[in-house]
Amino acid sequence: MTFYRIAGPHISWEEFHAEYVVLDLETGRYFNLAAGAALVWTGLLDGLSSQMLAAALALGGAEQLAFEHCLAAMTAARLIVATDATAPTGAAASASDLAAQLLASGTDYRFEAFDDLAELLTADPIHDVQAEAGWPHLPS
Amino acid sequence: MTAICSASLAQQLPRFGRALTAKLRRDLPPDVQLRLPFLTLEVDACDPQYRQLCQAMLCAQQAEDGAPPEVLRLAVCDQRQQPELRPPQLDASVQGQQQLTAAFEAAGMDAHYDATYQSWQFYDPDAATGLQLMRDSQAYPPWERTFPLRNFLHWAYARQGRRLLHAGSLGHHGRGALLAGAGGAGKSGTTLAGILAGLQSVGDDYLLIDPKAARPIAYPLLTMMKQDPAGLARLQIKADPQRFGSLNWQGKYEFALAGLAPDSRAAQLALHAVLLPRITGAARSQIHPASAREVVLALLPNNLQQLPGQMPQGMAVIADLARRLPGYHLALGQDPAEIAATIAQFLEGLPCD
Repeated sequence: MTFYRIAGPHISWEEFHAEYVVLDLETGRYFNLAAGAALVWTGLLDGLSSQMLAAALALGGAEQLAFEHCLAAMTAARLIVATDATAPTGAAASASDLAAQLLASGTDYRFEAFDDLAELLTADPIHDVQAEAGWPHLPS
Repeated sequence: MTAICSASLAQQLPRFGRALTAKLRRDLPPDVQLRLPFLTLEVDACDPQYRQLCQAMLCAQQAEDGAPPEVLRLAVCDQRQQPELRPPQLDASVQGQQQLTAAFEAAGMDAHYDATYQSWQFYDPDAATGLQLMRDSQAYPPWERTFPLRNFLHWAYARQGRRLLHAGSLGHHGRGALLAGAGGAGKSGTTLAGILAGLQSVGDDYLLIDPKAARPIAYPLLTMMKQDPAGLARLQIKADPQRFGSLNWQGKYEFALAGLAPDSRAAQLALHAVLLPRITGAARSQIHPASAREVVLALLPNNLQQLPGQMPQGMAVIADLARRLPGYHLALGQDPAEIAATIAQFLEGLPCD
């Protein structure tokens, strides 16, 4: 079983009617999760493994590929990391509920990444070192 | 000669910032004192031009009854006049603004370094004091002329649970709306069109949000508005140099809201909606629902990028606004009067409290 956890406290998210905006506070990258991607995020927050979700779905073909691609994208974006865990209480029922919703969304796993904020934040150079010594050297 | 490296960043820089801010003389009257929403701003600035800038650009309010607000005491210094104040040097291992911000926030402070102008800003929230250290009295970014001491107000208000927001605003018959979106979306032009048609506003660029009220409220912070020459032409306003001066760093004119439409300045706006304007070139304006997520995506990038630090609080406030206020796409028509009328009708149609 492959369980996932949120990559760290630097990952912040807000839910809006079963859709998510996720922000990486370290890099400034932010993500829009809707439809199937939002349901996958919900499932992972509930502690479900990817296999539990996939098994409940009995995914095949394009749906399986879309599901796996979504998980891979979240991992590659460093929003989630694999972890040792056990299934939480009520996991089966939760997986079944989510699976039903995932099936309804079909292959629509909307996971969008935005780099505009990250580019502006990381482009701020502070490596200029002035020729004249500053603090902690006090003038004589 | 030892420059501050990333390994010592967390200890040395906040210590330096606190040492500087502790030197501020609070026993003497400040050079400038301004009553802002929920804050009394006291500024000591050697340069008389900077004092005038604060008095001209920041929107002072009349004092209200009740407990006096928190006092924020700031000093604006420059090395030419005060050579004993020498800024920290950063070596190449310091990896960027985010690392600096994190180091200061971990030490309970806020700070910002502008590499282009080699200026520092330190804010100690426990003492409610801050210091801006510049290379010389004129070495500050061009946007500082439009909104002096912006970062300090951002940090002070964030620590109060309130938030500076980059947005426009319009109000009509007691119902207000934020105008949110990236640069060029039409926030300022739409705000100006509304004001000229008799709607009210608390600003087109930055305003203060108080999310703690039963209904979110927006307050004015700035006296000036901005618009480019093409925008003024669309509104059939002649860019008279005497009235509008010369173009600023963005290629826009800056002008006093009170001078253009004296009755348009609202002391506050109770917010009922968020509008997401978009220039379409269509004959008529149209308004249709937007999701809370779309509102967040419209507000988040600009607001987190332009206002350094306090990002988790910023995301939480923006998300809270998006949940509490209905969002709407505003497809802008071509006629400013028609745009204003559409917004006025829309605001009138929103339910009252």
